[in-house]
Amino acid sequence: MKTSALVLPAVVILGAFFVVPLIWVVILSFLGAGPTGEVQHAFTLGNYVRFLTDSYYVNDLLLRTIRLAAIATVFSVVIGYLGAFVIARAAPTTQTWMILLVMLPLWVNLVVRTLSLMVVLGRNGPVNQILVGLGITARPLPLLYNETAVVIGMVQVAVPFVVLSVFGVLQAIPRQLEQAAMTVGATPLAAFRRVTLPLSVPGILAGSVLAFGINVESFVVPILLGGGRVRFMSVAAYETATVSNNLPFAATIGVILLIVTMVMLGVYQWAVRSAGRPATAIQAA
Amino acid sequence: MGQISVNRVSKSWGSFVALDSIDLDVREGEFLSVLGPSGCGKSTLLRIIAGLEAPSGGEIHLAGRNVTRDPVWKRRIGFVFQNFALWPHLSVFRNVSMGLELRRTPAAELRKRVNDALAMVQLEALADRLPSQLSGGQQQRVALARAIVLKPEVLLLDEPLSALDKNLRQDMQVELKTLQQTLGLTTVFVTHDQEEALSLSDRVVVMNKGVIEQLDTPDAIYNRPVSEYVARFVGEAFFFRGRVEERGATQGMRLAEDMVIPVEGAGQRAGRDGVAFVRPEWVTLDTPQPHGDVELPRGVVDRLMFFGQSSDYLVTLGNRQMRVKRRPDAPKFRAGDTVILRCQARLLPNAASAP
Repeated sequence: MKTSALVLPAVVILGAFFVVPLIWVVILSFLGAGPTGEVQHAFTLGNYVRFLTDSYYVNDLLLRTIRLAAIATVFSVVIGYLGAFVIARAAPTTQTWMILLVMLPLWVNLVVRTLSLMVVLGRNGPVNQILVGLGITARPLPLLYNETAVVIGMVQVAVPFVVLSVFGVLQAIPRQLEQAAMTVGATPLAAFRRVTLPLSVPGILAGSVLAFGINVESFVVPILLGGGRVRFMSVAAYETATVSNNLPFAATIGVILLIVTMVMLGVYQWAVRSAGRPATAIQAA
Repeated sequence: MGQISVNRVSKSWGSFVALDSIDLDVREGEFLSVLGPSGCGKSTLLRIIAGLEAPSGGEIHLAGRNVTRDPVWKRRIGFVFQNFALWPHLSVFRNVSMGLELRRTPAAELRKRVNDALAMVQLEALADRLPSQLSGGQQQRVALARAIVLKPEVLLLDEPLSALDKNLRQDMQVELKTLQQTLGLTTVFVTHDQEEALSLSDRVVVMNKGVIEQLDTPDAIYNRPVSEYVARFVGEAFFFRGRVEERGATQGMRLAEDMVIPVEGAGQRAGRDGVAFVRPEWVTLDTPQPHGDVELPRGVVDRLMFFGQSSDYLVTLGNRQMRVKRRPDAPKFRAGDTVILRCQARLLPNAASAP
């Protein structure tokens, strides 16, 4: 009785601000829209049929979003893992500072961060100046307003989350496990591959899901770095709702995006359960 | 040169000297214990022999080869960690087989050698388990099998039994010794448990603050320690300080005006101050006679402590308390009884350093 009374405020707040709007969005996605954008209160599957039968929506929007998010996730995980590994092997005092540095971008507004990335990637930005200056390319590379730019932007957003989730797992793996491998003849690289890497799989999984979830719902990054040329789900939903004034179809795009994320979470749960045995074994050892 | 040869090895971190020019030779097939309190440098020495730590100076030879510059994975060692350090994501079999996998051992030979090693520690039945599904003693055996399966030149054990409870530890001591003898493995065993060191070893090294205090057989370490530190660390000791004097053919130590205790020990040192010690089982308590033994030390029995297989008297001598093993054939004393001490104390050789 008392416990339920205590959780009541949380249930009310979560219900009012998350569950009810979500249910409303799902309902909305099954309604039609009039020519001037007014919502018609009659059940229809039309929005979904329109989305799933139009190759523009399926290939150019949904699959592009998933593809770019997935590519960015792979890069985020590789970069984030390396970062986490370096931090995990640093001296404790250095560690604190490095973690702080990783978290620093998270306190800067995303729009500001992305705009500064535009300066860096621009035609005359430092990246192109270095590339041209070193003679790696003859003329500046187009690093803005294309898919590459969007992927770079998403990696920039997701890496800190990967670092933090992998670092936590790496910290929990005793160094002695690697040393033990070296006593039976493993080089440091072999010891890493056979011991540390498999034991850090739970961190890699958690980091990838986080990175993919953040990337697939990117909004600021594709708008600014894509410059309107790179179509993206959340941007499309926003434009459908505001420019086209078609709320039901915007809701449909949102629900489909939600389903993609949920499926990913399901895959993650399954993967964690398969890889879960070593993870629990560490805690027991 | 022995199977393991440690040559003037030093290790320091900043101004802290963990090892100060250690020399040590371990003979082939020998079981050598390194005994000392935590922080004496014993684990550092072992890790340097293994290559897990680089020495600040000196050389390490294993089986006649200078391995000082060799990284740990090139030395042919078996190492058992204090907390076993088994790989939690691999089965018992894979834990043992990894070293062979790394050497690209053919599958049939690998399987045979792993199974042989597991059989040697009686774990064949549990080959498919994960380490987390094993008891502490079984994990210990896996760690041992992992170390011996590679037929190492030396076996290095870093307090391998300290994580086990007492009964299990005693069983494992026997098993470990049997295994070591069967395989004829040159073994260095680091421990802070003096009983373990004495019962298992051919020779014992007692370390103190980065230097070797004494290197000798367990019997010599226990009965003829070279210093107060060794006497105190290896078993229980009660110390007497006084002037050594000649008493006919024997020596005595005058503790006070009317108190002399018979002593033995290296060298003639009559007329000089010295330190002697007794162990609880060297002393016999006796009832004081009105006429004889006037000069023997006297004490008062505090109480009798019963341990089952044996019991100790706590005896107050002046303002100090000593422990004396009760002999079953001797008369029984009660708290408050005055007793005389019959014993022969042993003089420590380096009396000069005694306070």
